[in-house]
Order: sequence, then structure tokens, then C-alpha cells
Amino acid sequence: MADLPIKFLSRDSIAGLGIAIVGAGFSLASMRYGVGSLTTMGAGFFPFAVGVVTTLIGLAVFGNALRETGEAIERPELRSVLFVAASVVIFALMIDKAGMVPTILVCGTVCAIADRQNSVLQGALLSAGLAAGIWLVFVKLLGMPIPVLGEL
Amino acid sequence: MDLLSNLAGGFAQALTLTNLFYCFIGVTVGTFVGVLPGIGSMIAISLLLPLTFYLPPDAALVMLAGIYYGGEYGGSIASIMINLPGSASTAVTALDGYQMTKKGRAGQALFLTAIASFIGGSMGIVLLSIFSPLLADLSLRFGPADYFSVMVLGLIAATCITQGSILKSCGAVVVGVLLGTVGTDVNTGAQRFTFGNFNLYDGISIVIIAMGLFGLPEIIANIGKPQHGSINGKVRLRDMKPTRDDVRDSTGPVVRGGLLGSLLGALPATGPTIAAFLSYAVEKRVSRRPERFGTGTVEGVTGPEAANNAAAQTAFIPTLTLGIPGSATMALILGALMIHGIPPGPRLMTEHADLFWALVASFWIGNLLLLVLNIPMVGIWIRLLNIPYRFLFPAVVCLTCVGVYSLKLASFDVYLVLGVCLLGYAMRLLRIDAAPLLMGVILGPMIEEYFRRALLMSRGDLSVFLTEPISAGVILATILMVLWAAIKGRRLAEKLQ
Repeated sequence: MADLPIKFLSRDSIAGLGIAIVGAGFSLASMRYGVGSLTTMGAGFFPFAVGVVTTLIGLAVFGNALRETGEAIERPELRSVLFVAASVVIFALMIDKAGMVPTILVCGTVCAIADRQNSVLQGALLSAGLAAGIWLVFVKLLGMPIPVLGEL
Repeated sequence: MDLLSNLAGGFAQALTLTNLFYCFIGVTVGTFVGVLPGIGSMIAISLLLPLTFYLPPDAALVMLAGIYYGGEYGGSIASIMINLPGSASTAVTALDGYQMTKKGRAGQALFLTAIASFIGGSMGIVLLSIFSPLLADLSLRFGPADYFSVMVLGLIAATCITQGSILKSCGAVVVGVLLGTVGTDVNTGAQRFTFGNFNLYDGISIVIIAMGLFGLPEIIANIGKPQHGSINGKVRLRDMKPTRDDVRDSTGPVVRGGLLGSLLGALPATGPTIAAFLSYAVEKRVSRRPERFGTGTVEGVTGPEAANNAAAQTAFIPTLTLGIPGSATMALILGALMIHGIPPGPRLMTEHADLFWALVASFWIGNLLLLVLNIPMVGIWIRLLNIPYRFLFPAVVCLTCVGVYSLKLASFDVYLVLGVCLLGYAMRLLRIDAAPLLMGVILGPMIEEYFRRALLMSRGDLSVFLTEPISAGVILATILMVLWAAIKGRRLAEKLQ
């Protein structure tokens, strides 16, 4: 792997910064809940303390990363991320109104075409089978209160 | 005999039709996902966790545990047949198991694996039934400070087993602990980090964390990856009969592997994977023909298989008696207990003794069922290896959505699982292990609770963690473990350079 021109962009430095930012964010936010002292701890004490530890660990990871030539982050599988994310969002949008069977048909089909080898038709057939299976297990066998078909 | 009457009671409860049915479902699903590369028992347990809300606690636990140890059996089938381990702990099995397949001895490898797994698993269960009551007695003497230290030890242990940077894993643990504080604070009733959203008042469900962190990112990473070729070889029952030499060569390794695995499974930070690797190393060392390892020798298959299955059983000892999970999967089992209103910890053994012994009895039954599933029916599982991944992953995504939605019938939870998934995928790209984060989320609230109680009793004096003898000993052990891991890490880095 070639040396990175900017060490800030190596995998570990970004990981360290990310961890530190999460820690600092929680620490800052927890001050609103009252930190208190060791004898009388407020609701914010524990998250504040753990947030500080998190920030320190993150900075340590970041510092270590700057000392060595790090590796670049591998490229995310954008197509897969987008289609899977889209199918989950579709599920969340549809489920309350449309009911389970139509939701799974659309969600499953969109998800299936994340793989280029799957055609829309294959995805739809697969989803139809899935919808039937999930209906059988969740609604019929376990009696989950999810409407099968919403009022459209 | 206390033990025998306890076990008898356990069998009576485990052999009810309901529990028998869910035990069967559990080990079958476990073998199923163990066989399929890319879907592990972790994902299967989190997928089925919402289903168990509709079951009595004993049936739920029997099923979830069955998935876990069933996965160890199934994982070795994929290792032997296609050199693609279904789970990390069966990676060692692939070394010699796949070589045996290449020599046309797949049937024998599968048969011996199933038997070795069964013997290893049984040894683990015996230890589990003997040592759990003893350990539970001991842990009744634990005070809050001791609990705090033991749980911190458990978390740090979780970071030491990860491949890659220990520091980054520590980061994942503490981020997990922070995520675990989201929701209503039990002591003051304050709403922490909820941003006024009532969907977050109960905190982020561990089902959402587990599915978002393991299920979905794993799928995203595997979509479109080239797959192994199809398998044409058929394994018939009569091909499975091992030779007399096979049996003789396996006896020692199985016994040693079972003992080693039982021991390592019960310790924090070690588990089936390390047990299998160590067993392989031990067998290679004691063997009179070490040069044959890696070319398809039976000792290299049966030893590690006995070890990882024994470890899978004894991993339940610290989880059930102390409430301290040794791995992310065990943490999930612990989470399942809590969801069913059973507080984990030493009182589980006294207050829910029937549940504990029913679970132990179900392990015996489950292992017997697995023997049946894995020897006469192995052909079915091998055929499963030919299912293309592209037909499987939409099912996992849909099941994740339905499972998460079924928790509270709230579409907010579905968005939340997507958020956790994006976090999990980012962590994957940044090479931060996700397992420690899950453990942080599950153990975090308990750690906070014991921390507060300990300091309340000591009137804010932090030295209580060092003056209580048990706590001090545990902290010392933690420091030693971190040092050991650091030194080992440096040596490994030097070796790589």
C-alpha cells in the first residue's frame, strides 16, 4: 500500500477522531443532567466520566495513527448500502399504513436488486415467498398484532 | 445427591413437548445458519430474539442457546466441504478437514467431527453442572464493588480477544457503554440523551443494536461477492464409517480437546475460537507425526472440534452464575434473560433454579438431536451450501425489519436500526470490532448501577474498589491481562515487520 499523502485521512486516525467526537459529545450533553460529585452523583455523572474516558481513548488512537504510515479506508459498497438503506426506509414508511404483505413485497424487491445478478422479477417472486412465510410465522403461529393488509 | 435430583427436575421440565419443540427448532436453525457462510449464530439469535417475547422464558432460552451451540456443529460442515468456515471457531477445522475432503474422505471427516463435537459438548455440560452451583455460592459473597470490578474485567477481556487494535476495541466498548446510558435513568428518573423523543425513553433495545451492528452490515459487505463453486460430491451414510485407525488416532485428541475447551470456555476472554486454535497447536506438538498436520489428518479435525464445542457449553458458566458474559453472543443471551424479566447474577441459580437446570438438561437433549441432525441428515445440509447468497440476504433484511418493528410496533425503531447499521458499516470500514460495542451496551447499565451502589456505601470513597479483597484481586487480574495483551500485541507487530 502506498504511503498516504495526508496522515489525517488514514483509517486509524479517522477511527480515533470518530471515537473522540462521540465521547466529547456525550460528555458535553451529560452536563445538562447534573454531574454532581462522588458522594452525590447526578444523572449525568456516569455518562460524563465514561465520555471523558472515551475521548481520551479516541485521542490515543488518533495520536498512534499519526506516528505511523496508516492505511487508507477501503471504498464502501455504495450500491449495496443505498439499496439496503432504501429498503429499510421503505419498510418504515409503509408498514404503519399499508400492512405487512405489501410492505414486504416492496421492501424485499428493492433489497434483492442490490445484487446486480437479481432481476426485479426474481426479487418480486422471492419477496412473495417471504411475505407468505413471515405471515405464517409471525401472525399465524405467534399471533403478532401486525395487520396483514392495511386500509389503502 | 443434590446434583442428580436437580438434573432430574431439569429433564422433567426440558422434556415437555413445548421445550422439546423449541430445542429442536433452536439446534436446527443453529445448524442451518452455521452451514451458511455469511450468516452466523449471532445474527440468527438477534433475528429470533423478538420472536421469543411470545414464548415462556424457559422455552425462549432453550431455543436461543440451541442456536448458539448448534451453530458450532453446522459451522464445521462448511469448513470441511468448501473450506469456508461457517463460524470463526471452526476455521481450524478447515485446515485438515478440507484436505480430507480433497482426499475423498469427506464422509469420515463429517462423521468424526459430529462425534467429537458431541463428546466435547458432553464434557462441557458435565463441568457446567458441577461447577455452576459452586461458583454461584461464591458469587453470593460479592458486594457492589466486586461486581463493578468483575464486569469491567469482562469488558476488558472482550477487547483483548479481538483481532486488530486493542485500543480501538476499548474505544468501541466505551462507546457501547455510552449508548447504553440512553433512556430513563433508573436512579433519578432523568431522561438522558432522548432529545424529548418518547421512543427512546426505554433506551435502545439490544435487539436493535445487535441486528444493526452485525446483521445488516454483514449483508452489505457480502452482497455481490463471488461465491464458491457448487458442490457435486454426495456423502452417503456408508461413506461415513471411520476406519479403526481413525478411531484410535482420535481418542486422545478428543479427550484433550474437550478438557482444554471446557477450561477455556469458562474463562473470560477465551472462547470456542481460541480453544480450537490451542487444541490444534497442542495436538501438533504431542503428535509423533507433526508433519502430517495440514494434509488431512484426523487429529487436526477431532481435537479442535471437541474443544470448540466444549467451550461453547462452558461459556454458559460465567454468564449464568455471575451474570458476566465472555463473548458478544453470551451477552445477547444475557440480554434475552433480562428481556424476560430474569435479572442475571448469582441469584439466578437460587431464585430460578428450575430454569437453570432445565437449560442444562436441554443442552444434553440438544446435543443428542444435533448428532441425529449431523450424521444421518448431513446430506441435506450439504445441499444447503448450494443456495446462492443473493437469494438469502433479502430474507435477512426483511426479517430484521419485521423483528425490529414487532418490538413496539413503532416505525421509529426501524429507522433506528438503519442508523445503527450505518454506524456498524462505518466501524467495519474503519476496522473497529463491533462485538465489544454490543457488550458495552448490555453491561453498561449494570456497571453504572454497581458503581453508584459501591460509592453510595463507601460515601464517595473511590478506594473501595482497591480495599475490598475480591475487587482488588480482580482489578489486579485485569491489569495483568492488559499488560499481557499489550506485550503480545507488540511481539506480533514485530513479527509482522
